[in-house]
Amino acid sequence: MELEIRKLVGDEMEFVLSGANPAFANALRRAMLREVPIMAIDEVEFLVNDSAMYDEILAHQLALVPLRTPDGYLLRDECGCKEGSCPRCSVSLTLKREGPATVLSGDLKSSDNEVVPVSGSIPLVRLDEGQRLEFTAIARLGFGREHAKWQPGIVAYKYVPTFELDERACDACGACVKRCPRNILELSDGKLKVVDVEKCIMCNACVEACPREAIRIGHHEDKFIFRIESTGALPSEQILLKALDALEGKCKEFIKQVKKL
Amino acid sequence: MELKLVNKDGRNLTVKIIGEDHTLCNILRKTLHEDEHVITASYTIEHPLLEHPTFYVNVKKGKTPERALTDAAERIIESCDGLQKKLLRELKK
Ligand SMILES: [Zn+2]
Repeated sequence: MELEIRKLVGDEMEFVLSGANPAFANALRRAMLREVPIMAIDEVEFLVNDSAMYDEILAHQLALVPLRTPDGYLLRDECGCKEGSCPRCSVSLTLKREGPATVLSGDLKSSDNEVVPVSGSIPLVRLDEGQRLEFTAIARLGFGREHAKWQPGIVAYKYVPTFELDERACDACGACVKRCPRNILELSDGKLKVVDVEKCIMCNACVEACPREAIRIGHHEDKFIFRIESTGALPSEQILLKALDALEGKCKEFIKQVKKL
Repeated sequence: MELKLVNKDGRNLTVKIIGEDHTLCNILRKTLHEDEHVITASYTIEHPLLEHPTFYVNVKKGKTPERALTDAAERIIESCDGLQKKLLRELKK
């Protein structure tokens, strides 16, 4: 298997996985979405909430605020502390505001300055004149398989498309050029050309447009273009590294269990 | 993760993989199919929320089903290891 990074800018990463099969590509995608733990608010205790929003709705909103996740925290189960929240397995975030104001994610005060909202400008709720909001929240590590708030980002892959042209059948009528929704076909010197085959979405519009059945759209069987878009909780390359670790960990545990049979 | 033996006779093995889902099972099934000693490998999750996957493997003479399973898991580990090394090398560029 080969891996080539195409793009790594900010929270986005694009890479090409080749020599793999769809099952592996999907296992990798699933591992990134479901098996990479990140921090998210998991419990909120409201002291005062005069806002128009119910406690539950506000708590839900808070849970979806992406938090930066440094290394070193333990999962609740790994920690095993009696309270279920100690400095080794959790971070406390507090907030106290009085209206009129728009309460922003940046108003959260964290007990660890490495576990802070990725963006400070996410609006949480608006407070009117005299309305107060005060709460303590507990953030802890969790997995995307339990709740989407613990999903480190969006991960998707697509097949690498192929465009086959029967040059003897093609009479360069240009019908396909007009129909392609991605505008990747062009006629030059009386010949049909593909500008950027990777932009093809395999919709087959060109195949249908061609009166002479000269076009065949397909895809490579063993090549996948992956895109990771991190919420900012973890750098995107860390999501990939940790997903590979997680998959490996699962297999190691599986071997141990098989030997016990 | 925990394995519960459902059925075992000679070259057939059925186990319940407690706490796992498609993430592990599908790649395991696919990797087992690449093993020439494996005749069938498949799994089912009877209910996505209430049930754990049941994995079935059937092998030819020359390898036990347990061995086929651990071999497949080893190969996935190798793939992950290889990719990690390549990724780290790419990141250094
Ligand atoms: Zn603890």
